[in-house]
Amino acid sequence: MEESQHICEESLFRRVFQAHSKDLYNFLYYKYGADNHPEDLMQEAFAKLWDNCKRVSADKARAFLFTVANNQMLNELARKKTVLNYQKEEQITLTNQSPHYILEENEYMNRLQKAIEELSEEQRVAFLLNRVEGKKHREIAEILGISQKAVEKRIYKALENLQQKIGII
Amino acid sequence: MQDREYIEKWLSGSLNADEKVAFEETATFRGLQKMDNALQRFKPLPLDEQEVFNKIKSRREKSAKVVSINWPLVWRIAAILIIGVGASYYFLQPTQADLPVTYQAAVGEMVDVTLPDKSRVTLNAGSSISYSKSEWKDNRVVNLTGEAFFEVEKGERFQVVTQSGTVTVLGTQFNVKDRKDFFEVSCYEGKVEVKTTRSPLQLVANQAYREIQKQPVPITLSGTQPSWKQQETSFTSVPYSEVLHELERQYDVRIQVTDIDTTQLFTGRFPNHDLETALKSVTLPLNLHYQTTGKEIRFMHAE
Repeated sequence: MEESQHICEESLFRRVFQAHSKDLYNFLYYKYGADNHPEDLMQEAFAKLWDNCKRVSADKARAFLFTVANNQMLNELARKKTVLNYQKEEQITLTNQSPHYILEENEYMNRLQKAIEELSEEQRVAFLLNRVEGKKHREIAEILGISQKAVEKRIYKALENLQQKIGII
Repeated sequence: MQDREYIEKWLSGSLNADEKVAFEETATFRGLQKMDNALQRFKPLPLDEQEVFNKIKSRREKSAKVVSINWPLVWRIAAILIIGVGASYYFLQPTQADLPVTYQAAVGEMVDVTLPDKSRVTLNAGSSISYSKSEWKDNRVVNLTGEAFFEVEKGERFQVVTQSGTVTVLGTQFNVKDRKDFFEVSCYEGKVEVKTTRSPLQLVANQAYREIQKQPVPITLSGTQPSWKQQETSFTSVPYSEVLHELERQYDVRIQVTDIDTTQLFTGRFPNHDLETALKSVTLPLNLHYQTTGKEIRFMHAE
């Protein structure tokens, strides 16, 4: 019965929020990057869901959220370059490492960052959801509303691109 | 890339045990592993979910907007029929009881009300207003108990009816206070007419009118808004009893006095959100002491 319940009531809506907010945020972050306010976009998607809460049941909420998030058209003029920051390693772990190693490491990270940012949006989202978030191909297919085969292809293409640019292997 | 088949299986996590052992020997795997470790550092910083949820919530409360409806045709026709039936029922039954709309500000509370014509009313603590929705268009009449500040939109006559008198206006800003043995109208903008048991009189901007126990008392007005709108209550030559009543209304406390002349006039002010300071503000000038027991406060002369 609970599945078909509509989610307007705050406590129910909060549960939906808790169930999907992290995934939705990660998705938006990988898609648009840190400088395009993924947090606001996420707010937007949930606000839309709440506005439509009478028509969307709890089991359809996830699909609704990702559809909205996927279709959010950012103003192309105002849209900023996709930026994905990486955490700098703490200095303590580096004390025993040679300056040469550190230099190489930093360079690797910078090149990796640039290469990821330059991936197409489609490839980047699928690739990072898989590699960073450990999402299965099936889950990614669900999130993006595409076939599992297409997910596979995107991820592999992304890897090929990275290989070309920075020679991973 | 070489080893495409292995790499694809590795990406989808579908290498079997033997394949896995073999693959992990390769340089390809080491390269991928290095990349994977590096990629972990690209995780976004964790989000303060509670904060985001609160933002969504407050946004919803603010907008409370109308959801656009895209009903199928059949339902649209059904809706028109239902509305039609409902409307005819409504119009054919003009005698249907029209309950007045009431707004109330509880003790220690302030409430903002927007009337159908966009006129705004701010209710001070322990006050209420009511009006009739159906008659509003022809007759802008608000019944007031207590104290409220009005910002009236231009239009036909606007009336505030209280027990002690009626205030009539054309687009203006004014404050009406009707408490036990105390009636006061302050006009901040425009022009109002005040009618009590005495003959009617007109107030223009920056004029005020006061009656204490039905006797008119001259007063002057300062400021552009009543002080209570700024979370403060101020008095100019007001009987001490009314000062204490106002304190009770703002803080939800009961005040008892021992041997104190509450008819004496008091000029001063107290904050509306700091009981301690408020109590000092009204006792020190009169050289009084106070004792607090829960919500009961006793005022007495200092030794």
